[in-house]
Amino acid sequence: MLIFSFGCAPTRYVKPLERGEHSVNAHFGGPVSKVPGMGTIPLPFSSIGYGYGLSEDLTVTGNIYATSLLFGVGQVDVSACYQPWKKDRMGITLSPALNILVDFYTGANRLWPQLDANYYFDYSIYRSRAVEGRNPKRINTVYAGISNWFDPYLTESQGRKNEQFWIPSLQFGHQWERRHWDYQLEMKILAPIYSNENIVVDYPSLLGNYGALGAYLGVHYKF
Amino acid sequence: MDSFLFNPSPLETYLLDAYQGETSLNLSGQYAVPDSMIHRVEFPIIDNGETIVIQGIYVGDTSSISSDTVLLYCHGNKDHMDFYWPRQKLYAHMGGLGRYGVLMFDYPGYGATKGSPTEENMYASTRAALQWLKEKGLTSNRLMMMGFSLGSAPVCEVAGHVGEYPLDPSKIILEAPFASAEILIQDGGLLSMPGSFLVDLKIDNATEIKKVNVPLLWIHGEDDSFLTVAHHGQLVYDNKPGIKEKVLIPGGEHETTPFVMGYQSYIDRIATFIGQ
Repeated sequence: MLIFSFGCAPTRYVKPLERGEHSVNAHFGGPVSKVPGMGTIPLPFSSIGYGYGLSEDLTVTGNIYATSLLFGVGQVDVSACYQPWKKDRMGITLSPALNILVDFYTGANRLWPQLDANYYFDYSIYRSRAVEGRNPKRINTVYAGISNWFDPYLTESQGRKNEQFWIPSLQFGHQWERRHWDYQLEMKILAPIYSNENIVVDYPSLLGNYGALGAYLGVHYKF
Repeated sequence: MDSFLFNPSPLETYLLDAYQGETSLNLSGQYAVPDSMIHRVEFPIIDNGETIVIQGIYVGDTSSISSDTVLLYCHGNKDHMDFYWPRQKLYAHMGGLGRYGVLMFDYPGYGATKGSPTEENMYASTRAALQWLKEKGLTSNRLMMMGFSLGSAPVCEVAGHVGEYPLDPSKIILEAPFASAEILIQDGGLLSMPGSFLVDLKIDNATEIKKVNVPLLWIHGEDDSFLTVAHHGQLVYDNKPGIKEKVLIPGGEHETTPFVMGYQSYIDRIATFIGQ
């Protein structure tokens, strides 16, 4: 279940974890598609992952995709979330990643690099009772950014020339940050520069004959 | 993901002209077929240890198959034989009504054929149809095979494996063929991913056709947005060795090519190819 693989997960970390902080996360959702016999639904991708705050501005993370495992394909990504700029309630983060896929039955494999960039804004911060050693705030955050997948393979099946080396997507999301739990809702406009017409899968899109829509939920537990 | 490629609908029984649902083409009464020429046929297959009775429709005279030329039509991925019945009627009029016998059948899971479709049982049901024709006296030199869309897979499979099926076609017609399951996946996913990431199907017509030595007629609508000329039909055609002809129809979409071309022109072109 990897069609539109570049749309199988939302932003992992909108902002870095605190230094020394751990996080486990789960994400659900995918490209909205017309599935025969089921209707128009987000394809049911799911993944689980772990993150660790190396510094106030750098988090490293790894994720494994549960849905693809059911189909005999191992898919993992290793990534980082780096914050090069922060001011008051806003910041910019960059998230390089490497997506690794292996078909357990055929041995076929792929490596797809990825680079995401997000701008976030904490539009409300509620200070609550301080808890020693822990974030005492409840923060609501909106964010927007661009996700870039790179397909470095020169040829496709039957020797066809690969004409899609860069596959961008746009994302818009909201994060509810709590003491231990963060919740995330994200929408993506997947591959808005590519036509969705001449393909066998029917992707409804906000842009008519271009791109596809993605819908995702995420939950993080920090400790 | 295989469900994106197989899209069957079950039926209790076939209604043919009385069917009120969507059909592949809308024909006028000009292409009617008398009831006396319509024969319901069945042939069993064994699929995963279970017997499935394949449902088929033969238009023509079953008592003269031993001397007739017969077109075995392998339909596309949608619904069932009622959906494709207008096409079978059209082919029954090639060269005049009854000039050629036409056999169509439903793959497992389609129409009144029980079971669930797989690549393997699609080929098994094609084998059973060929066996039925052989038992009726058909010989390979009088067998033509035509595949539309998904149906191009069993046609290329049979034609590419000479001597491995009960009969070998002497000519094949492919309308809107798809090149391979992997290309479908790569088109659908944009990334250059191996087909095995998503589907169990091994269908690779663009490779299989390299082994086909009988003449090919390729028909494709230039405006086919489901299986495009460039990504699918052209690859199959380019890889075909030996005698081949092509008919590209401007304005033709996946299902509409016979209509856009004109029904009579469409069947005349196929009849000319068969009769050469």
